[in-house]
Amino acid sequence: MMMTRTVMSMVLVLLLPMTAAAQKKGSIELRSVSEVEVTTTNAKGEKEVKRVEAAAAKVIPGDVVIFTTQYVNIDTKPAEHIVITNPVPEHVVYVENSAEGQGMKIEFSVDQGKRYAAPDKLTKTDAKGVSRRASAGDYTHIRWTLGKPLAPGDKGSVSFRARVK
Amino acid sequence: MGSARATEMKRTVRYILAAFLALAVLVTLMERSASAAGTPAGVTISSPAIATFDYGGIPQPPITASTSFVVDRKINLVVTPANGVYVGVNPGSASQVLTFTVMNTGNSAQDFSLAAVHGADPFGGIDNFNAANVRVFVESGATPGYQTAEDTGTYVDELAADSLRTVYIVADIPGAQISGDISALSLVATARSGGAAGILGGAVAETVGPNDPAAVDTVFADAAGPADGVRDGAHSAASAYRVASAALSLVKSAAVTSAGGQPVTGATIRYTITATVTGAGTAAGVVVSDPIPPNTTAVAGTLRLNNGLLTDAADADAGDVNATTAGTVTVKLGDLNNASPVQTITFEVKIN
Repeated sequence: MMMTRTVMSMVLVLLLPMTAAAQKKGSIELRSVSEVEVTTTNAKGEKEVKRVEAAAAKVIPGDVVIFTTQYVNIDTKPAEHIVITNPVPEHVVYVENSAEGQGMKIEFSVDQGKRYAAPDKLTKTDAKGVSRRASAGDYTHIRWTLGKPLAPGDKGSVSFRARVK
Repeated sequence: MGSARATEMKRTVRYILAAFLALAVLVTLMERSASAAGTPAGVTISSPAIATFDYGGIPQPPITASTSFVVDRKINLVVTPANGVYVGVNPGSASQVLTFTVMNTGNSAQDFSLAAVHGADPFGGIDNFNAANVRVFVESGATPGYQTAEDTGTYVDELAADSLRTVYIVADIPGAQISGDISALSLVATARSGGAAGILGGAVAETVGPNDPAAVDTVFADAAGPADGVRDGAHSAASAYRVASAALSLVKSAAVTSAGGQPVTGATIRYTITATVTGAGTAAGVVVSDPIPPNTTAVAGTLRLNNGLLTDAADADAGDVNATTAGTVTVKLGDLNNASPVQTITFEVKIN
């Protein structure tokens, strides 16, 4: 009993300053949106591609959805080692070469995020034990790593496209 | 030596590439067949992003953000005729069948109402009559093929996504039609609300205007058929009946067989009649009757069918002289079609 209590209080001590710091001084802010491209014809008869929030649009199997995560440093000091990870959601398939992020190293995982690598270094082993190069459909997670610290007030975004199965 | 090795290497690389491609194709096929209709309507897809970062060299707790949306209902279907050619029918035949399949390629179970409409010939001919008493029935699954007693359903009930059902157009062919006449019919299937087995659900409308994020909207994704438009919640396909009655042609020739070769009194004349069936279908119970010409007398024991001698009496063989009808040669040829060999009847007469 004594032991448990000690461990508990230690955890609390460790956690408190961190959460306090995150809340008081601020940190980075994250905002995610899922959108679809809707093509409309304007008054001049020209086709216009407009992005509409997926929740506010009609999305059916076969449609491509753009997942975007915006990040901003709302702190007063640079944020270092920013890493954003996003699992490829269930019921969608990642669209090859669609991941974007300025100044970001983009890597993928085919094993639920255990290991990340560039697309040409990822392999997938099938049921028969045959290893082959992983395809976009095998990706389970996407990871973006920002190469330099994010200055206060600076922002950016990462995105990828996926097709609804 | 060097070039030989290079060739060998190239070949190996080619084999590996080929194996790779084969595997890729296989994988693609497997993925496609696994979920052709796709994610069911109403499923929420959410994408959580997690950011980790350091602040002043100290790792900070991860920050998360998530976005989600609901997969809407995709209404899609494909009607396919089972036969890529005409269905041959005889004039006056009742309950002739055109077979189709209705496939639900949407992402939810639906009912489908069915209708048959007259239209253009899908096989390139000209539709020139309307089959009568047109009905539509759904295969019950009990016995393959249209069964009058079993297949009585008139709409497709609760067809799951990615499933198909066989549907029959059943119609009567008027007796006045002749060989080559064509009647084309399209089967139109229209999506209706699913959910309640045993009753045809209500009409399905595409959700218009702004999307309701809280509800599952309906989107039509179907193609146009010969009797429906694109993205109208319906699909159609055409097939056609072609009257395939057989045509029988008879050719008769005469030759003087007695010495001198002149058709004079006492001379013998041999008549040859050939019977040929053309066109599709079967000429049933063909009987050739040929009156013996005036001023001639049939020569006993000369009636032959395909070189086989027939007796003159009305008996078990196919022909007789003066028996079925006085003064007439009668030969029963039975059922003939265009695959039957040419039937040749010969008999001789003497000029009185």
